[in-house]
Amino acid sequence: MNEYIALQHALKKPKINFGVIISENVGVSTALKGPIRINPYNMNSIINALEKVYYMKEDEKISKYEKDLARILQHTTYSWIKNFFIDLKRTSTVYLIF
Amino acid sequence: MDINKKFGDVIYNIMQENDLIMIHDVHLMLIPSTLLTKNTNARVGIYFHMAFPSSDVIKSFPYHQEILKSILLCDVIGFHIFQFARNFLTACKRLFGIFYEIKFRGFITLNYLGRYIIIRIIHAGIDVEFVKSVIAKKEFAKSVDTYKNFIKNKFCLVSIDQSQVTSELYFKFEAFRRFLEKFPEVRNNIVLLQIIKTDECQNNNEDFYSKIQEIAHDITTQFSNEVIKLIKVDKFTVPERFALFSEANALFYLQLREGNCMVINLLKNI
Repeated sequence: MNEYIALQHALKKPKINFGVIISENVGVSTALKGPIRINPYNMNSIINALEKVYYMKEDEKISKYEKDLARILQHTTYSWIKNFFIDLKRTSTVYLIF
Repeated sequence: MDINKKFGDVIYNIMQENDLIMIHDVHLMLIPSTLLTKNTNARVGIYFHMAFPSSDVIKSFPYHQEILKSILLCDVIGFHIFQFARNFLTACKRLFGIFYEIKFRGFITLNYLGRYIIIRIIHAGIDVEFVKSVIAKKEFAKSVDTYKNFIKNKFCLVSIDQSQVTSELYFKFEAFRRFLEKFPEVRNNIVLLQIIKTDECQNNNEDFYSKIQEIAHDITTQFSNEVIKLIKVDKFTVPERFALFSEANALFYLQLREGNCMVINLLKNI
């Protein structure tokens, strides 16, 4: 899902595609705001989601896409690793006790 | 346990004082116990790329005590989202009676044997630079052309799934069929590209695939149009996947349980 959005940013296509339907049980589904989250056993909600994706307007696509893109550009792999190791370094230091 | 021990021995041999060690994912959960029994100064962190089950599921596993104790020997435990972290914290509370505390600056900590363990929720992102480097490859352009042949300027839904029951392909196809019944105008203008990755570890691959194929065949004959395209692959490389995504109008994922399968990308990237 992150890849999908990052890819569109990298390709610089004139027309933006932004339709993501994802099960709410999947871990990534809460990471971004744009995707439509559904329960995989709720047939009606899947049909509604498909309809929504198929008939989505360009403005809505662009606004959702830009919001999520900003988040993806901010949270890179490097920042993820960096934060993890910073935490690892400062464990068992004094100020955790307070 | 044996494999974890081997990994642990290798790390122990190359490791120096005050090293920082990061362990990835559930397969190597027992490394901390093999490593830290040898009296080292190193700090060890573990990160879970998969979903962490709730405490009831953990209890049903025969060696849950050993595994949880091994995880608790780490200094930092990382999760993707808070739901998995909470499952872990509940398991600690119910099995060992360890309560978590929220400290200054919002750290979630566990106090186990007098040490403070940090629980960290970080979501691993993706680098745009990495995506650009993949696009520049030859395979990418080649597979874009093959997918364009399948799609033919239609509205394209894309999904990549493992060949297993929890991918919920039956429900997906049923929902797709009902969608087409409800909206007749989209029938000639939509295609669902379903990639099925076969897994060597599973025995019932063929049965599953033939069932799925039957359902897909029924739907295509019902609407007399190729609305579902099944593609079965053994390996699906990163350029291929990016090519597929670049042609997709929408992604359509309905797995029952899944974490965030980007481990391989990430490690190549670093």
